[in-house]
Amino acid sequence: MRFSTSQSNFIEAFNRIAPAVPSKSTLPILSNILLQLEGNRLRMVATDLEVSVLTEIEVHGQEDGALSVPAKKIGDISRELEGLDLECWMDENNHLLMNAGAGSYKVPGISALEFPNLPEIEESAKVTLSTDKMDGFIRRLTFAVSKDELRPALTGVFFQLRPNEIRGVATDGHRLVRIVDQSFQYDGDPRELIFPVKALEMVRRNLPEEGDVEINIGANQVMIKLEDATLFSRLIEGKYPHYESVIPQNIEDRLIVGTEDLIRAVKRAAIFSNPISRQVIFKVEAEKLEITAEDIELGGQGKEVIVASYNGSPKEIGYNANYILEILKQIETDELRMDVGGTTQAAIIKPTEPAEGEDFLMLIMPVRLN
Amino acid sequence: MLTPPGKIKILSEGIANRIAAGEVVERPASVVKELIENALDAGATEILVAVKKAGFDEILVTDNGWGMDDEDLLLAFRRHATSKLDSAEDLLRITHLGFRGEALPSVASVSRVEVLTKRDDRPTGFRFKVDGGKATGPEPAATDRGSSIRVRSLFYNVPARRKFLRTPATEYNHIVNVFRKYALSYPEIKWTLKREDDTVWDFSSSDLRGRIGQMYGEGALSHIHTVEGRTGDMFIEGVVGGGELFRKSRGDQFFFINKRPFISSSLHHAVINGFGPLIHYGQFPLYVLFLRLDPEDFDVNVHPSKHEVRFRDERQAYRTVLHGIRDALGNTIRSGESPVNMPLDKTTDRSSHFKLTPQPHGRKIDGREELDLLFGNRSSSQSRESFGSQTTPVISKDYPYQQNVPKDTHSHSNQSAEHPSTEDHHDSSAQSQSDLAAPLAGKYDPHGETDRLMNSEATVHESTSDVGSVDSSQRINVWQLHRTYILSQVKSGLVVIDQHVAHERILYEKAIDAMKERPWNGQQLLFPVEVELTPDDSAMLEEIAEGLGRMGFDVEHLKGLTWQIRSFPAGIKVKNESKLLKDILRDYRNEHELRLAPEEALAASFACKAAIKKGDPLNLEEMNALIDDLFLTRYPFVCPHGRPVVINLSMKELNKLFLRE
Ligand SMILES: Nc1ncnc2c1ncn2[C@@H]1O[C@H](COP(=O)(O)OP(=O)(O)O)[C@@H](O)[C@H]1O
Ligand SMILES: [Mg+2]
Repeated sequence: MRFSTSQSNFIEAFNRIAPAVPSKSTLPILSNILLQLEGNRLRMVATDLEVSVLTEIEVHGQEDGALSVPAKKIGDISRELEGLDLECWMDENNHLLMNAGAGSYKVPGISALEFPNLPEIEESAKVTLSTDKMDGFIRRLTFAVSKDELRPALTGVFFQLRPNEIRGVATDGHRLVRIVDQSFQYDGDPRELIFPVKALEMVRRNLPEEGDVEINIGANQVMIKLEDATLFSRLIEGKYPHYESVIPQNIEDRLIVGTEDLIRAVKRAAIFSNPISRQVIFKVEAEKLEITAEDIELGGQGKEVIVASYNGSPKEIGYNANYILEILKQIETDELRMDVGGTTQAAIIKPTEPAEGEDFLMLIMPVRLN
Repeated sequence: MLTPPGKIKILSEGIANRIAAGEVVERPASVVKELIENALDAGATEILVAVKKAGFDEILVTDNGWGMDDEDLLLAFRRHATSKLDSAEDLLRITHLGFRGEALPSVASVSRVEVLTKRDDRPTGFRFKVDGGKATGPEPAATDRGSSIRVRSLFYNVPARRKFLRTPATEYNHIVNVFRKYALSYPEIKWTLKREDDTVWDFSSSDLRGRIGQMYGEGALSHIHTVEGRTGDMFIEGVVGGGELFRKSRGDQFFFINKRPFISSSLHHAVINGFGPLIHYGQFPLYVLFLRLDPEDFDVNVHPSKHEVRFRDERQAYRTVLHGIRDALGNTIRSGESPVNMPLDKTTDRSSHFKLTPQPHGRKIDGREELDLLFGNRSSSQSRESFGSQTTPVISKDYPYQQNVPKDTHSHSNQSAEHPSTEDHHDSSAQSQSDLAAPLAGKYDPHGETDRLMNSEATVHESTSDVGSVDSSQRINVWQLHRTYILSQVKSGLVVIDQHVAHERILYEKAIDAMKERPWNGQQLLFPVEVELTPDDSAMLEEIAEGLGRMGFDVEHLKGLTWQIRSFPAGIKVKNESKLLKDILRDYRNEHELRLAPEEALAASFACKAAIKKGDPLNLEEMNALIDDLFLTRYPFVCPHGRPVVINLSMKELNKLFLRE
């Protein structure tokens, strides 16, 4: 293997895949990235065995070949070579040699044969989403997934493909996000997939400015084609809970309130909440919402009153301030709608004007006030 | 058959003595006790105890008290002859140690006794011998002021009793214990203990602390805390020891009432209870506690060997001890010391902290302030000026990949992906963020962590989570080390906090509070979780479901062994509710055997299982909140299992480590 290229070309490609390198791994090879030269195309791959990212760049190739090299070393040195041209080649002892400017470097690598192969996808379905849609889905869903490794299904984002409809769902059991998009072209069989969050975050990092994202779905793997990179990911196996049943159906008490007002009020009140429970109390009555928080141990109190439209019966419901703030932040409209049920019932939070063809709903479970 | 009355009397007295001896003189140590008490009653200021063959061969007690003359001697060896009680009324107001007048005759009935004694007001001393109930003397003898009583061949005429005795080693230990009790109770007296002519102890006149130093070594003094208190007209004073003075078995626990030693399992319990979670089951703290109260309010006459005391108001005694201990430990904690062994910096002057630190509850002081009070202020140069440059978040040169942040059209959307949110430190976005951002640092750079620590600019996880955040510029000197410890700079040096045990301590007290006072609210679940339990666990859960409920854990029995979890304590970061519940049940089973009260066991189990773990990443906000909460607890320095929470490495100690004088 021997090639030369500009530092900027190299490092840009490196940065696309490097996040896939696991921070700690028992398999030393996974700390490496694979460099593979064919003609003038240099392919770079990083993997943690669950998520793999591949990118290709144009270089000046002189001799085909492949080698895996420690990602950290290669990244560190190439970052310091700004503005220079790099010339890289390998020797028979699996060393990567690099010349740049007045410097020459030697990095011990591991034979490319030991680097894990990319998964093969037996494509059974294919969907195409716009960059925008993809971004919107990932952004609004990943925050709500569970960290519970014992319930792996909940650690991922659940996608349901139906004819001309795609749904994304995430929940950690305390709150839930559901996005239903019907402006979507799909005519394959209904499918249900659980994506690991890491894969989605990696996709989002590498999303192009515009254009489409192509998702090829295999039995338990997906391949996502982006403009500059291709991502492979294992799908999470397991049964996703029957989430529709926990969405309250006919809550009549509806609050409409300014999104920004509410966020600020909750933030301020939360300063006075107990640092452990982070509990704030929403008190709704005619035309107003009162948010209070109190730390009995420390003795602080905060109260916020917001003018709001509400014509249901007065109630007092407790929420975890952090949970509710995370939810509120997902709302992009000036006002939001909150359907406030009973004290043991989830509240529904939605934008007042949903995006075209989209139904975006979030649920939050209250804190039971003892 | 008629018998001369006098003879009968002697016989019956002899028998009575032997019977009494059975009660009074159980073993060699009882003789030592009686003789010591007599010496004390005689106003001695120097007492020598010398034993041979664990007292079986010989027990000698010599004092410099006021002694006896020939008349006294004859009387002293008569049953119920005592110079110490004048009327029945006096029985109610016992201020002397001896009062029954049965010790000497009892001892003399089962051994060979020889007394050499002299009263100050008499020109000569006397020798008096009793051998198997047969008296010789008193005859004049030359001796100094005071008494010397020699007891030989104990139980020579009661072979049955000898059989019941333990090995000489055990019997000798009993003697040492008796000696220690009185030596502690009367530190102003000079005491000597000899064994086969070797001096075991030679205590010069001192005070209680001094005596403890003599007995346990000077090192012990840094682990003892002064107890001082009262409830009503009952006073308690003395010392209690923590840390290295925790024992695996009994032996160093001493109660005295009006200077008289006694044992009381109920008051021992009060001491242990006073330590609360600071002590493990099976650990025994050293204590030397003196109760003082009107002799009319207690009765020592329960048992002739006078080990036990009956209080008029048992509960008052319990409370006096309990609060005495709690206050002692609480003061210690507030003064910046740890009640159990911890290498806290002793060089810092904390005399003023008593005044500065408000009462532990309801105070509005944050943990950092508390740390400053305890360990000295952070150097002010560190606190403001340098922060301006540090406001750039987390990642700078060590995190090259951050250069390639995703394009972000929505101003706030970046947040969740980039910064761990305060609410959930298990946040996978936090996790993956660090994975994504620094995928290699941990792997390739074993010093990465250290480097970041050395360079506060790069190390500080400044939380950009704006959720309820406090002006972080004031609170920046906190670092997380290996996701295990929180480090903070204080004036005296470095404070290291174990994140798991710190959280455990916080949750423990919160749980106790929830069960006793304010119930904890429950975060309800969208999908109630069903748990399948073992029959044991299910039965146990039935018992503790109510307590759990007060802690916010709403559990309901569905059918058979199936339970449902509807909510869990609000604000607790639970990854898996059913696992947490099972963990708690398992742990509770153990704790329950160890703890006094079920609430404490439950709180301890809960705290241990729900607390953040070693390995959990914490951001700056979380670390500060943890420190704040920790110092709101009553015992911030020890976890419910007795492990240290906070360690202070002083500059002095550090300098020493670096061989810097
Ligand atoms: N070491 C001593 N010095 C002076 N008097 C003593 C001493 N030992 C005993 N006595 C006298 O002998 C009496 C009887 O002692 P004892 O049988 O132990 O009864 P008690 O101590 O209950 O009075 C005491 O009351 C005391 O007057
Ligand atoms: Mg006596």
